[in-house]
Amino acid sequence: METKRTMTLNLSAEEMAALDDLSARKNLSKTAVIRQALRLYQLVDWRLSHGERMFFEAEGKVEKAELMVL
Amino acid sequence: MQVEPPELVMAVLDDSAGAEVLIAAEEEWGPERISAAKRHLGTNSFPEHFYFNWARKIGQLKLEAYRCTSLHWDGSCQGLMMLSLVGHVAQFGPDKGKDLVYVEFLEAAPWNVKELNPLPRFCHIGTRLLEAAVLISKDEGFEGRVGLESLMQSEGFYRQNGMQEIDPSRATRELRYFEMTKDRAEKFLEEVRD
Repeated sequence: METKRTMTLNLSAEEMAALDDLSARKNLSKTAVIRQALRLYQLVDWRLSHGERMFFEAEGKVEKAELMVL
Repeated sequence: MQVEPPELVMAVLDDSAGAEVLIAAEEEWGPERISAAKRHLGTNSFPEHFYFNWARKIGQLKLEAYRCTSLHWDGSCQGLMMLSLVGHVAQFGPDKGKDLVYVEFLEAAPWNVKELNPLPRFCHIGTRLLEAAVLISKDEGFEGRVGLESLMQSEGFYRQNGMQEIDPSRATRELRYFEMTKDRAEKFLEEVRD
């Protein structure tokens, strides 16, 4: 059975509001939102560390906007 | 289900298959895939997924964003599926924009593909893996939503399982996109359990 561990998260009021908003819009629990954020961050970090670049592309537009990750 | 003699067998589903499973499967499947490709060269049955190589995907398993599901019987892998759990959202209906489980790759072992073999060993491998994707989606809180882009040879399978589709000419994708909505997922689970 997968072992899960508990962590306490200290967030500002604004951060909590952002979490609440994502939770409501995505119909996900706050835990699921944090889990998705972690997966995405790890994936982005891995791809960037392997020399890839991340862009956003608007539909119907030719230019792409590069997302800089520090 | 075993095709000959026809009987239901109890396969084992591993919803977190590791690198050793992918490597072992590729060792068995790779030569069979090449052999099938040679037999069907120049025909409509030439396997579009000929280039698949599961051993090359083991790097993805280091990331929480991916999960591999495998179906085994009698110690041999009969089907594999690589899922992406992040970065893909529903395109249809009231759940548009909500997270879904995305099937990056799905393959039944070459000896189970009826287009490649006159007498496959097992059938319904794809259905069982698709069912697993829906259950994982529910477990993740995505309410059963599943999305994927299909090779042309597999479009009929996803269509007959009630997935909605987007014509590639209307999208930026090269392959036709299929999606299992939340409502369809519930019906699908009832159908496959009957």
